Amino acid sequence: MSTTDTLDVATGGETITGASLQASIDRMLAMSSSLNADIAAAPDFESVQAIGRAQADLNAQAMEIVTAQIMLMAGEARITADHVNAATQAAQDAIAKMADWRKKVATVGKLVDFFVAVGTGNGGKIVQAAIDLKKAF
Amino acid sequence: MWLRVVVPMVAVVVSGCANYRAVSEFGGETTTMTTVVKTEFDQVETLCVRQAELAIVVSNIANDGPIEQCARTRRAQGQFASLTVEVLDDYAQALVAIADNRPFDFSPDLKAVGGKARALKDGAGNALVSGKEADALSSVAAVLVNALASQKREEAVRQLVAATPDLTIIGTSLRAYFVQPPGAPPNAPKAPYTNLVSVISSSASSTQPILESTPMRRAEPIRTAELLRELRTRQKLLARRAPDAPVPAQVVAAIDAWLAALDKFSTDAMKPDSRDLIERIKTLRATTRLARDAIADK
Repeated sequence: MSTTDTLDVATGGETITGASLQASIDRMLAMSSSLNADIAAAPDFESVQAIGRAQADLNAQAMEIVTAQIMLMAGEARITADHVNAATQAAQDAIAKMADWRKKVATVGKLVDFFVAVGTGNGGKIVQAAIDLKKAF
Repeated sequence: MWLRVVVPMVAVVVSGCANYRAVSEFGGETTTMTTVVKTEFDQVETLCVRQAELAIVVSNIANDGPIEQCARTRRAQGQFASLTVEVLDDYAQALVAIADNRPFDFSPDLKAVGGKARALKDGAGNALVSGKEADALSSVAAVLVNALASQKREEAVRQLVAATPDLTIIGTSLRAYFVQPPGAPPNAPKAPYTNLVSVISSSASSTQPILESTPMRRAEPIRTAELLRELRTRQKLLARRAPDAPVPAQVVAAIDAWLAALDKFSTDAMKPDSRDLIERIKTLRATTRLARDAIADK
């Protein structure tokens, strides 16, 4: 993922397609599955449910990609499947190294925010969400 | 001399006469196949909603987001498939109506079907409907309208037969909803159905450890046991829908049998007694029954 806080403007044919996001769907589901171990170790009822909600968010975003075939309009931020897949990869790597489930859940939240922003196709929102996601790592 | 003239003339007349029994049967079995597909759409939607309801309760989610997500899924991804199935339904009913020599009112949306498909494509960029598929939908819709306007049954059947290449495109895209196309590279995106079942299964897999966790069992032991039983039943249904599991395998087999019957129908519909066509329709009937049973978990 880019370290700058700006993205080039998209031109026709540079928008992403749902088909090219298969890797992110798989990664979202893998991250959701990886949190199962934290549930087993969770100390109380509230912690279990908080992790469950993070998993539900990941599953929801995976389904959003499956169903919406994310569209980005030409003229918005130039974001490709590579950017999105890189974001999920970075989030997955970061979560794998985190010991505290609270931090994992917070990172999942930022990742979900990023995907919601991508779904809007709004370049400004995408860039801001990408910055917030990166800070969470 | 007379024999030499009459026999070829009879042959020409007979070969041009539609086999109305086969036309009717193929139409009927086409409807059975589309019913199987629609039933499976409904089943997956039900699984999605039930799992969403469970996730909301178990994880104390403050809104109906997961349920609304299921509704969006049904609308967004099912739209093209449903649209495709509806066109095939109209085609099937047209065949039966022509064979039975009775009037038929096609669905009011039929004329707009190609436009709808194009709108899907335009709205979602590189979405579910390719230009080829949208053209096929438009073409079949036009053929159906023209065929039913025709006062001549023979001519109507000929027009429907002529739509075979476009119907094949529609059938093939319906197939691609359930499985990757044959020969797809290893890194090709999974079929929408496969992804959808994966996501619902992932949600179910996430719910299981929550229900099995000690804090949850201690907090609500009886209710937790009930929900776990419900979850395991659902997981069995989802396992039957995994790649290569009975449900998608049988649904795809039914679509394949329909495509094979369509292929033979295109060459033999105008033949008075085609054993090959009858056999393919029989195979289609048997295959759709297996698909129906697989969906019903028989």
